[in-house]
Amino acid sequence: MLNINCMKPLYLSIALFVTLAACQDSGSPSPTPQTPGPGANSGNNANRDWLIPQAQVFDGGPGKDGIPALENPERIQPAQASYLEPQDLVVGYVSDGEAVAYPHKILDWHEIINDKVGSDAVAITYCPLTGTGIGWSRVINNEETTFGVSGLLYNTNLIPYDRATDSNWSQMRLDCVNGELQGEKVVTLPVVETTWATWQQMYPNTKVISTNTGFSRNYQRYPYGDYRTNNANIIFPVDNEDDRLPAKDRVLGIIVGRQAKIYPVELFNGTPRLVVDSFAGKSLVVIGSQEQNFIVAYETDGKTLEAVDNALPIIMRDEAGNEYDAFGYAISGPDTGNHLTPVVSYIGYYFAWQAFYPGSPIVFGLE
Amino acid sequence: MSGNVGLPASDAGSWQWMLSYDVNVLRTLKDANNTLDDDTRERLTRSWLFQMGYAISSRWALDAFFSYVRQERTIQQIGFSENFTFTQGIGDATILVKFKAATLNEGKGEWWVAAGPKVPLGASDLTDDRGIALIADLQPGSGAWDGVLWTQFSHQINWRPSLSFSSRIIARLTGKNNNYLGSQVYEFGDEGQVMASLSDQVLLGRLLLNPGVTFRLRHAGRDRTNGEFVPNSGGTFLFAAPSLGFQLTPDLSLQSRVDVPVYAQVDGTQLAPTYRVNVGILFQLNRTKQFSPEITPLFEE
Repeated sequence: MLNINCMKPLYLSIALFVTLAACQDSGSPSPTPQTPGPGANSGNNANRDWLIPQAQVFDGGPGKDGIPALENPERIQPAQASYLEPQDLVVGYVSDGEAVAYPHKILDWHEIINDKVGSDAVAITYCPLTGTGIGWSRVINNEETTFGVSGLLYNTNLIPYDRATDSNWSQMRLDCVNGELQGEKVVTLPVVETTWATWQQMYPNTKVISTNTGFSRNYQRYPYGDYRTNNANIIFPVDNEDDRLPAKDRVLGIIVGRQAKIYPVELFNGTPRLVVDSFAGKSLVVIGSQEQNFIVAYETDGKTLEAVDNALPIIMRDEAGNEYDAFGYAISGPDTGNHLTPVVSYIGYYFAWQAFYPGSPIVFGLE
Repeated sequence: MSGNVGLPASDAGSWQWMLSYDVNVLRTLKDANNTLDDDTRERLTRSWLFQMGYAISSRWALDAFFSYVRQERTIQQIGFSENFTFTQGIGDATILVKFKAATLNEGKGEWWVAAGPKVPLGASDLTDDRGIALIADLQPGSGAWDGVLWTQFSHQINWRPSLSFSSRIIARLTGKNNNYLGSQVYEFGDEGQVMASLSDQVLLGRLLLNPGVTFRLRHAGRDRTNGEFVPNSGGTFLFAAPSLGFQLTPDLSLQSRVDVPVYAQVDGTQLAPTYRVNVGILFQLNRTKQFSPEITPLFEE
């Protein structure tokens, strides 16, 4: 049992501990909610002014450049890419006749690939947590730059930073949200997300990123466990939870201004199906195939379009006999070389679309 | 830090204070049990640990464990500037009620059991200097009440009384931080540790030394966010930890230990422990008897 005398050492102990704590950095935080920490070197950009709610920007854990973006990674022939299975997803890009596939297996570990394809300086930005792969131009204000992974997340979505100004950008919002370039818009470059098998059918001469990236990673392992299929598993807080579709359903979102319209990939079951739709004053054609695992959208440009089956890279034709590939280019017919007007669109998990574009209309059925 | 919990047994009415400094360095990137060739990231946990214990009787004792924790993260990719983040503050505290369950072999061995809470004194919602909220792993505190179960068996070796064997098992049953990142529930994985130690006492001139070695097996379950497993968390680790103590006076000793990983199997890809150093000073007050086994000089005079 404790007595008064034996309590003296207890008081001494408490006094010693309090003294010890007080001897630490005088700028140390007290354990109160949301206390700014005293020590972070956030690079050149310590700007606290954000276009998005700063309280909803979170540090993802690995830190700035803790997930290393790739710079001009080695490309290999498809026959050398033994690490890929036919059903593995890739983000494909084509410029000046040069086709390159950026596999999710690489992007899961690097999130950004800065590359030059044909004459285009492109950054393939990919967020594994929102399932969004988007091509960004690396030319900002006429200057070529590269992007890195800031380690920050907004609505559990990637925030790249540009290495010219250290400004932070929102991948799904497609604008600069913090730093010197705040308010600048992303110039998107069209990509096609599909399976490795379909991409090779579309572009047999494609090259693909090698696993020889200069970084030691196990590219055969998906790093997020059951995240892709577990609808309850959303690692960081997000806005606007919406249960009209399962959280992890892959959907194509089309953005016009600050509005979006959503097309679930599974609607396009079987062979290519085409829907002509209108949204925000634009006449759109959306074509996809769950079997071949692609879905793309363009403006119709006044043309009457129909789906074409079993003729990759051709996926649709118009009444004038023009045949179009997945990038909307006429590859045969009188308009060969021209392309349909692109719209800003990309595939992502449903919950992420609702987080960024709340209340977006969903297309639940095709006519 | 739970591996440090639990002071040595002492005599009824005696007090013990131990102040130690602990540095846990993680810069080994592991994929399952494979070491990846990547040294671009480092996580350090520097802790001041303060333990005090009071032996209420020969069978009952109380231990209290406080900490002051500094978490550091450094990233240095080739060609880019270093990125450094840290937080620091009072960490969580642990209180143990210890009970001597048995005395064995005419006093040469003892078996203690203990239980108590880990109290969430530490902050779990610190931000960086831009006001960006940091993840649970970078916080000084967990924001959760945990339960700690502890047991230790120790025994002198018959053929060499200065040599003793001890074994310790610690289980930490974690609670939930219900205010993680403002709206989530975070739970660190449950943790279990098994330690086996051999320690001796030898004389170096007039200085009494306590060399020893500990093997520590630690298993941490995977963390959960809102009940779902957090990827790349949890694992199983085996450490070898040589230690050396200096008995400065009968009541004052210096202690040092280095933990070196022998084996690690992590879930997914994670930074794993590279080494850990702990140095401390232990002071005992009101001891009524001295343990005086036959001590062997390190060098014959």
